[in-house]
Amino acid sequence: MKPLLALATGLLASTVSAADWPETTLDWTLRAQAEARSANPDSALAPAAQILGAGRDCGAGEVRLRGRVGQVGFAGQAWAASCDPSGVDRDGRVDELFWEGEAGPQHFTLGKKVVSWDVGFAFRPLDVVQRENRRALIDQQLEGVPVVMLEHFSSRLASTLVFANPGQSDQALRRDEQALAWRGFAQTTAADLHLLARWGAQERASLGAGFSAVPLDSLELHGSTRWGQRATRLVGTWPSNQPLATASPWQDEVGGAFWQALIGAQWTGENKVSVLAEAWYDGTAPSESEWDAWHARNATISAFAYAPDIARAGNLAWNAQALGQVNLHRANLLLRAAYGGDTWQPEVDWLYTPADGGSVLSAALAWQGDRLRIEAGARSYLGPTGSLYRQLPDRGNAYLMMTLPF
Amino acid sequence: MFDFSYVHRGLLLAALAFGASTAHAESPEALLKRADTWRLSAEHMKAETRIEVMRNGALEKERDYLVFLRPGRESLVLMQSPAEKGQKVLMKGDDFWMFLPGSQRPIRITPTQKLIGDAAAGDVATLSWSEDYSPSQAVAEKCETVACTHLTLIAKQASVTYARIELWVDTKSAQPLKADLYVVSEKLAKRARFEVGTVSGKPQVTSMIIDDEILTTRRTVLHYRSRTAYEAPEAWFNPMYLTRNAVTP
Repeated sequence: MKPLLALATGLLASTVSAADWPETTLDWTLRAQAEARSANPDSALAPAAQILGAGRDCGAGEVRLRGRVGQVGFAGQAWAASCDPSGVDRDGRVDELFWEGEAGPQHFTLGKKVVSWDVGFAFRPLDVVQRENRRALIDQQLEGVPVVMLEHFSSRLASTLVFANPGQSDQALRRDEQALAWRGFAQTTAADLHLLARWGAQERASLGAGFSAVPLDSLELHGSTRWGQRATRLVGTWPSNQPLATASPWQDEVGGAFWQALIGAQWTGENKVSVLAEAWYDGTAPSESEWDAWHARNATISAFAYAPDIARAGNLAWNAQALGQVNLHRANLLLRAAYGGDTWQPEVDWLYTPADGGSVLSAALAWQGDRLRIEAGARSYLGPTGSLYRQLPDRGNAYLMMTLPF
Repeated sequence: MFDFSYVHRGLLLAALAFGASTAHAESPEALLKRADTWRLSAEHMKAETRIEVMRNGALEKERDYLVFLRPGRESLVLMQSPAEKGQKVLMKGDDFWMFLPGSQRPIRITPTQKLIGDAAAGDVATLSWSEDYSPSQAVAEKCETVACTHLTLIAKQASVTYARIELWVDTKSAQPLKADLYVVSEKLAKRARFEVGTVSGKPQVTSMIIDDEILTTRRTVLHYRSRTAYEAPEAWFNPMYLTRNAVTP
């Protein structure tokens, strides 16, 4: 990694042209939201509902800033949030702070920046730098990753080399992992092509490719796949001869090879109605046998009558960590329909996991005025009681949000 | 005695006929190119556009756009209004991409997705008819007090915003007067008329009033606020470049 840093430093010191860059900008947005959640009494984790905050209603107000001063770009947010019955949490975050420059055909970025890759919507195998957790009901402003980035662009080709998390510990995992990633892009007559190569301090080698094509005026097709030498997985290691653990049994472990793949299609009619269908496979998600062990462990904890309730609830709460993963099952399907009206914008989507028949149904309706945007939505977890989505601590949630940009 | 007045009249009629035939000698393609100059003042251009969306005669929304154009049907539209700030649409011939600041990645979109939004991206970014359309017929007509030519324009590519445009231009000056815009399904989507003012001492189209024929209560007024010659760097027209801040004015 040291030669890359030296190269970056040398290039940064060279002459940088900013003659064509327009002036400084500052945009800010006020947002207020209320969220109501209903606890799931059918979940095996229900005894831990209080610890997990299940069914807790929340309200939040936040201000978001985005802008640039010369060659420095920035984005950040500050918020005050309160979840019943706890007090008010006030905090803030710098989401992006980076410098952009160029020297001849080379373009550089240095700092904390959002670097999102891939062609998919519900899942993105090639999103190896940002690693955005998709499918959140309420959209969040993304937090960038520390990067040193070198890019080259022609009319139809692009090459991006990213050194992510420089200076980070070699032991850091997931989006904090120190890694070198390259993305190539080619615009051909048939499709946009994306190629990916990555070397991570922990996950080692990874290769991927993707495409996006428009074969008809109303139809877009896309797909991507990635193979990795080693995967970071959340693994539960329970004590073999004790029903209860004394510390969380869940931790990240770097294991064997994996692959991920996504295929999708989006149709949009002249009437502004669009339908998206995506299917994907994620080899880093837990296997069926791992989920069988998880169900069995929950049953063991609940049945162990010799421990106080708080100890059993604590163990069940630890087991809820497994439900926070990007994909709960390896095979997944998403269908989405939306109407892109000028004022009213309804949408509905349905995520289905064939392995256990569980699904997530989400619906939202937005009203867009000249500036003010009001949005309301709801999400419900459906399927057999034993399915993973029906084991989530919440049965569903609903929100109301107002956004006012300046 | 020979009456020279008949000769005089004959010569006059011949001259008028010659003049008329000269006027009609201009090909529809050439007339269309002349009509383009009323909106497109340079090959490489930067244009600031404001859209006013009216419903039942009342102003509902205002949207500002900054458009970079270059030959080869390439344009980059930057949304400037608070509600859309940071969004970008790149059009390169028949290929289109959109960049949303929330996801921070360029996504490929279809021609029909271009129609979504307060203003069809094609309405904002397309300043040249002759690059996108072929005139299939030209008919001399009378438009109120002026002699005009009714051009039927057929899309050269399926990816353009409108499959067919019926355009009326002043036969003498080629000033665009009005247009009927049809989508692929042959449905009349919009009716437009053009207003002319003086820009840099030269008569130019300064606004386009578009009546929605599907949502009949809706009218869009597109104002060309500025048009200047500007050669944007080639890199700006690469979809992957949309993530860089340098494209944000």
